[in-house]
Amino acid sequence: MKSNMKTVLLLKSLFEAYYRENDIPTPPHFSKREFGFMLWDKEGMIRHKTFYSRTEFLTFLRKKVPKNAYRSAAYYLDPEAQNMEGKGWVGADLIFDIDADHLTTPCKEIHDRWICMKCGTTGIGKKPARCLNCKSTVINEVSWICDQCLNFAKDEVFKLLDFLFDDFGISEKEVKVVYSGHRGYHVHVDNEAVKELSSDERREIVDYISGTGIKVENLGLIEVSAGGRKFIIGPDLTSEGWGKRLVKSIIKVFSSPDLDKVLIETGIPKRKIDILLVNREKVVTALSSVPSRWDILQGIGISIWKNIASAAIKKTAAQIDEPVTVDIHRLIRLEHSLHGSTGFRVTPISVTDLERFDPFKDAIIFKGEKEVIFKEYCPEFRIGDEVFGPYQKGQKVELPLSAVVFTLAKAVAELL
Amino acid sequence: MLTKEDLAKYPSIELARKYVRQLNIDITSLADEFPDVISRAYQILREVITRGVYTYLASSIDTEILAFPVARLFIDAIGDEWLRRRFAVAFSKRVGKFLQGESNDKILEIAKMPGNVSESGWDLIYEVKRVGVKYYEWKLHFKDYLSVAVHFHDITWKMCNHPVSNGYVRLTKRELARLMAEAFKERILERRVPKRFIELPEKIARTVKEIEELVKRYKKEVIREIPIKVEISGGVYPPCVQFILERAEKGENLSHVERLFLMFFMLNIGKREEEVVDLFRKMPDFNEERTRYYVRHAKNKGYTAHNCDTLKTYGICKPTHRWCSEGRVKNPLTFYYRMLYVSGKRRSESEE
Repeated sequence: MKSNMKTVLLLKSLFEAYYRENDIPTPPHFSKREFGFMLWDKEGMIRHKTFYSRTEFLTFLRKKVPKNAYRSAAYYLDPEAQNMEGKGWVGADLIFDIDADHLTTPCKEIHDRWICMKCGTTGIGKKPARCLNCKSTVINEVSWICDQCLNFAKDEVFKLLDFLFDDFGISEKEVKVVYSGHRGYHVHVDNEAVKELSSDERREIVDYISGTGIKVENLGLIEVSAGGRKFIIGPDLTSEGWGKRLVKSIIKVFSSPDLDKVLIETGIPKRKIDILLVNREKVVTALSSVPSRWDILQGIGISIWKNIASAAIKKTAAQIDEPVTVDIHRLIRLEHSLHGSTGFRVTPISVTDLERFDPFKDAIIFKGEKEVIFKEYCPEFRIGDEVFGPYQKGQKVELPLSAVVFTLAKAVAELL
Repeated sequence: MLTKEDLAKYPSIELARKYVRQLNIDITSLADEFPDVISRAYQILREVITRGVYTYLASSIDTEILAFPVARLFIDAIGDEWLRRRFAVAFSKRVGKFLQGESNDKILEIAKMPGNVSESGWDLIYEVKRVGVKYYEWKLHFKDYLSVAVHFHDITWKMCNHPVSNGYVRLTKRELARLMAEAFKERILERRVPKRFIELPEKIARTVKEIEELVKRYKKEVIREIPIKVEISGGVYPPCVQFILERAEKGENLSHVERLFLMFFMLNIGKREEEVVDLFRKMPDFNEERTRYYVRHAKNKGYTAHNCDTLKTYGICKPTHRWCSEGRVKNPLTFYYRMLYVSGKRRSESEE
């Protein structure tokens, strides 16, 4: 959906004021980075841009007023070169992207919408493969954001940080969490050990964090025979890496009120589930002891434990977007710039502040009021402490400027 | 402390290179002054070519140390990639065996010294920890672990299948020896003797010529220089198979899982036993008898090709085609048959 000229001019003038009034900090090693920009009046992206001084960088932002601004995760000898071979790749920060769009959240069924570009039919929830009316496959998705999906994304960030700190030995000061200004968070790791990692090596880190390729036998969960009897042995809380995570996750699952749901999803036979449900506390005690005791329940063999382990692994793994981490030439949103689809600030957050961080409050920058008309249905949203909407198509409303920018940038409203 | 015997066992390490440099040997007089070295280098390469084995001659340590760079010089002069890989793989296997029997101090010294297993040396610590029934004796920084383990394409080498804590990956002695051996191999493949040294005096040139002839003969008789039929982009093979075929054509060392997958896939699409064996002829460690046994066994058992999820786990999946990236195929065989159908349909449409 395209915005009208009046809307674009307002958004651009607000963005311009922001870049004029704020000294946007340059990212670390900025003269070795490639920058990319999307402008209001041009299709496509300006790439291969570089800056030699902070003044040049600020002047560019203030003059061009980009709709979206990006910088490379990589450092180059010649960031301006037009092709990757010519740039001379030196290294890259390790970047993780957690996007609420890729997470399964119940709120999507409430606020996401789709519209068939052929017959105009609309619907709520994820877009179907074909239009329910005309069977066309040309369907646009109008995704929305709310507290629930951004909190889901934040939970995934916490899981990721746990892997980075405990398993990879990365320190808090080497990590920067950045709210993307829209649907999620980016985590930047600036550490000498990761700088020169190849794509394949970064993919292996993604696999580690997402638990891809775990074979529980390799974590020590096996059946052994001794004295004509079979025993199950496995990792315990003193184990390291995924072994320890597996034990912690199973203990958490067995301590949770949702245990029955989790067990049903694993496909374990009903009578085995009954044994596990009756003995849930016994399992928690046995796995919390060191060494752990996996052999405590009659009738619960190694294959059942393996099923439970698969479910526990899924719960502990962090859901990160693989292509972003693996691509060593990736452009990532410039910290402190504005997101063209929301008007929210791309906001760096310290790890200690992450829990308290509220994207609908802390990434909001515009002040004042304006009247808009809604050209599409607009689901409920929150800016600061105030909840707005839902608004129907054609409805005229006076809103605070940040809410105006958000609805204009999301292309559901226009200026009057 | 490394001894001279250690330099003979690991002649690619920095100390051995330093030792050789100190001898200040002139290439023009090499054949006259050190005829034993020339004949030992010839013997090493003959065994590498014909048997895929790098032997160890404990009786003459000096000759053994010197024969290694001379053998590498010969390889560079010949400039045959297959020979280079076969040499590197055979040497790495020998190193792996020696390292397994080595003391912890020696392992530490070799691994940490810059230039041996990597430019800056490995961040390796000796620390025993028991996990279940397994004893881990070593921990290696994840950066160094990944630099080698990603080449294995084997599920047991995925980092998630090892204890990892505070930046270090725990390893058994056997695993560490295997990793170090692979790193030795990679270093050999990376380093090439500068071309200016490849002006060989007459006597040495004759020996090199003989080795070259041996390579040609071996390739003709065993490898048979059959070009692997690699489909050009847009062919009927899925990208994962295409990628493996391209590497097989170059004579790169495929992992065990890659070999099994290629074998199962090709047998499933109806390739004959002989055709499947031919795909592996350029492998640096090709053994016709063993390959034929595996192919026949797989054929008799009727194994199907691995599915996409499994291949993804092994890092073999290359989702460059939209059918793969959009998850529209679950098994590479489905890709193949669907593509066969689509391209057949396209052909018949264009004929009409």
